[in-house]
Amino acid sequence: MDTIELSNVVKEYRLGEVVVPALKNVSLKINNGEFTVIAGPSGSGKTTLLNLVGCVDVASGGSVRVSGQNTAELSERELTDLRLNKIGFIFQSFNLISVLNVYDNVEFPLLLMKNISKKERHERVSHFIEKVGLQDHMKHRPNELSGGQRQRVAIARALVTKPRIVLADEPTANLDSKTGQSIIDLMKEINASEKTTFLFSTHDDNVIRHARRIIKLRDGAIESLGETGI
Amino acid sequence: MLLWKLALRNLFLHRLKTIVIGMIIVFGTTLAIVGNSIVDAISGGMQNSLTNSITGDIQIYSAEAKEQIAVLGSMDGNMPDIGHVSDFKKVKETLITQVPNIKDIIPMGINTAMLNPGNLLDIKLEELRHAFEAPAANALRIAALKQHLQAIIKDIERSQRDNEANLGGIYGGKKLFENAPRDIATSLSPSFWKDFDAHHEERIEFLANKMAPLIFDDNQLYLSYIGTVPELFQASFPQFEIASGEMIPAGARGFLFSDYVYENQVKHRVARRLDQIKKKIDQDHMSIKAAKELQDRIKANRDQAAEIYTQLEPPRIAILLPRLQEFLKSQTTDIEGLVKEFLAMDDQNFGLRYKFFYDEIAPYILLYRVKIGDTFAVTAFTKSGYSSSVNLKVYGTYRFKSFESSPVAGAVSIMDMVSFRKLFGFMTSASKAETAALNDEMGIKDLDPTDVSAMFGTPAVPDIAKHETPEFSLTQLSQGRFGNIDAARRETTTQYTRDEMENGIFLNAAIHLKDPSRLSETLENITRVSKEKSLGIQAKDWRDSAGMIGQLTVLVRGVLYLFVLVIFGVATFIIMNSMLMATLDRRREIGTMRAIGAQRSFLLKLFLRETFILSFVFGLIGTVIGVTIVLVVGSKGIPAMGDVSTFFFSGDRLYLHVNPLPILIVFVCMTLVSIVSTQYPAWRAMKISPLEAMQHSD
Repeated sequence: MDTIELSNVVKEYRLGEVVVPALKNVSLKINNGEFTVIAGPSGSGKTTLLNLVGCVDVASGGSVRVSGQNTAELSERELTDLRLNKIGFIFQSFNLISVLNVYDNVEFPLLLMKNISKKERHERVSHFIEKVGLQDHMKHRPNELSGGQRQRVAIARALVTKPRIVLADEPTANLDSKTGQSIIDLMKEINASEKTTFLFSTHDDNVIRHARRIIKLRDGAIESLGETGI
Repeated sequence: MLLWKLALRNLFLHRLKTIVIGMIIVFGTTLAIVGNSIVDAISGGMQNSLTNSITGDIQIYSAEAKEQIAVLGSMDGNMPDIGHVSDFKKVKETLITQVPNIKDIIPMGINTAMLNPGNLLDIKLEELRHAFEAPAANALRIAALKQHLQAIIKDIERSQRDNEANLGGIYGGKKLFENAPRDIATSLSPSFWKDFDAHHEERIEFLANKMAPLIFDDNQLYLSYIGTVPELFQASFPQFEIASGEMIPAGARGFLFSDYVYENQVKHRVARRLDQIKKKIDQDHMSIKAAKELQDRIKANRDQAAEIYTQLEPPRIAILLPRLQEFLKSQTTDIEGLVKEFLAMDDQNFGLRYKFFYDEIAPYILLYRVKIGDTFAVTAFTKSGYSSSVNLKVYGTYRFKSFESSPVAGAVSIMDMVSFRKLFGFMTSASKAETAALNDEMGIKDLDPTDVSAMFGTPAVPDIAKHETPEFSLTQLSQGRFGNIDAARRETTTQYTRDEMENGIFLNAAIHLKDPSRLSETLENITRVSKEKSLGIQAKDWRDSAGMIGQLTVLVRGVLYLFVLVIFGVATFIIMNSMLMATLDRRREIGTMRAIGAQRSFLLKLFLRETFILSFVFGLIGTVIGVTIVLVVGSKGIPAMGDVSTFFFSGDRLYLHVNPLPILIVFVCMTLVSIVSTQYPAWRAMKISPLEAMQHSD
């Protein structure tokens, strides 16, 4: 089953009088459980593509289907729900909530979901914190953690809702190569164990090397779709 | 729980902002609570002052009044024209039976009068006249008085010489006194005094007619007075008390000075200033050295030293002179110089000299221009504009307990109702009968017997200039020489029954209620009964009927609320502003929350919680501070500064009480402020796109 399907997607940004095309007629399919990298130089449209898939932005033309739903047909509220329930985000700058500790940060999306019992919340939060190896740092605030640790918290937060898709925008850009490597390893492991679809945007060769599929973008257009494989 | 945690931690993270906003909220809440408590206390104090002094709970007056009643005077300082009501008995009996909440009704009438107690020469001549009733027994006194008279006339001669050029202006035409130099010469001639005793009546008359008018002083007293049934007034106003002298006996006609007026207008000017200086030094801890107003009073006393030494009789001067010399350690040999030296007081010698003044000087001068027990003529303009006089005995002075030093309610003197009616141009029952007899005799039937002016066709507009009596002039009136000198010597001794006192015309009446909390209901009842029974009256509560002063607390409260409103407005603005700044600071975080899946409403809730905690915690702190201030300061009482505030405080101190309702209102307002001020920042926050989370910068 196709988890993500883009057909003839156009995205244009308007800078005053000038219309800047960010994506030109992009069509692609990503299957369930794929570990995919979108590669390309800066300005090639990687983040734009990720934003469209992540339902935080809408296309100017064409259609984006995420988990079977056409995002253009969803209301703001439905898009938010879709993000909450189906998508996990891992940001380049980690984007943890500074006033919450590790545990609370990971628990945050579960609290937004409302229908999860306290017991299950605790189990899930503990499980994923353990999974990212931060069980000894549960009470720490983000500013008490290293960059790698923070990104691990972000990964736990992205996974705790058991999303179908995890989107990671340059997840290693703010990390040294060794830490970056361990983060990639962690995500691969989760991909293998949880069957979660991972979609990266990166121009980090280290990450690209580990991808099972590489979609190359240049100037807003697909250069190559790469091989599909799980 | 998450929201509360987030809100609390955000507040803690932005500590400085939180504290600044918190301070504003604390200040606003404290001010609102303390201010409200003060205004409440003043309002209550004023209600107490007014209802217990003059207005009662309710005032009634003619339904056809041209102006609204203002018992304590209106904005322009005049007594408004409130018309009159004819039959007190009917009004009283009807209201008491029909409106059960009424405890008592006290008839009243308020007017202003002039009285002229006569100048020093008048008074001394009067005394001499009495002394000659038994010349043998009073020989010594007569000699002393004659000596004093000569000294006074010498003083007149001196001031005539000194002020010759100005006299024309002062007396309104030199012509009146063109013979003054000749008359003074006559008065001072040895032959005038040589056979004075033999021709005393003629000589006294000469001096009274020719010399006394030459003394120019502002002896005229203008008094606000209230006509009422004195014993009823005393019984109905619990704060009424006699300060000196005695109460006007039941059924007698008479006059009671307001103690404030008596001490501040009737008392000898020099003594009055010394009293004021002493009060300022003792109570307000002022010093002559530092306070210009005290120096001015000292200077005024020195300038008016003559008012002391001309009043001292020569035999007394002979005794006082060496004592003053010794007291002042002075070589000065004339009394004029010594008194001036004596009055030049400073902080070191004031206490001793004040005592010396009251021990050695005050008993021998005219300490009060009108003595308690004296009978004097009160002159007033009737409602029709002609002047009318009655002779009244001054029985004493009264004051209202707990705000005796305040001029606001205490500046009104009291007179019996019969005299009031006469002065106001209404007839007493005796003169009514007389008029009726006259009317019968002359065949006049349709004349309104209640209005004397109708008989003379005097214009309704009070206008002195148009008065038909050609000899009448304001100068004469102000000089107190209006043909009633003989009348002034006659004491009014007629006794009146309570019915006679009460019944008849009145201008207004004070109503006391059994249950003052049912005031507005009772007001409506009175109005209804008045309409049903055609009483022709209207009723106003104490606040409306007091005049300008009654509206003062409304004004003060308005100003306070405005002030609090401004503070709350500022608080709203500052809270909004800093929330907005915080929103912009937290764009990425908010964007992240949105990206992760937080709905917009989640952000609104988060912001509302933040401001709710702010306003609740700091509102509570403000409330605790406010209530503590009210309890601590309020139980000790805020001391009244000055005479006017004792009236508003209804005593020397203002006691505050904690009132839960305004506190609740302040709390609700604080919450509203927080909700209102959160709207815009929250709206801005909700507009933040989840895309903000994707920005590649840290």
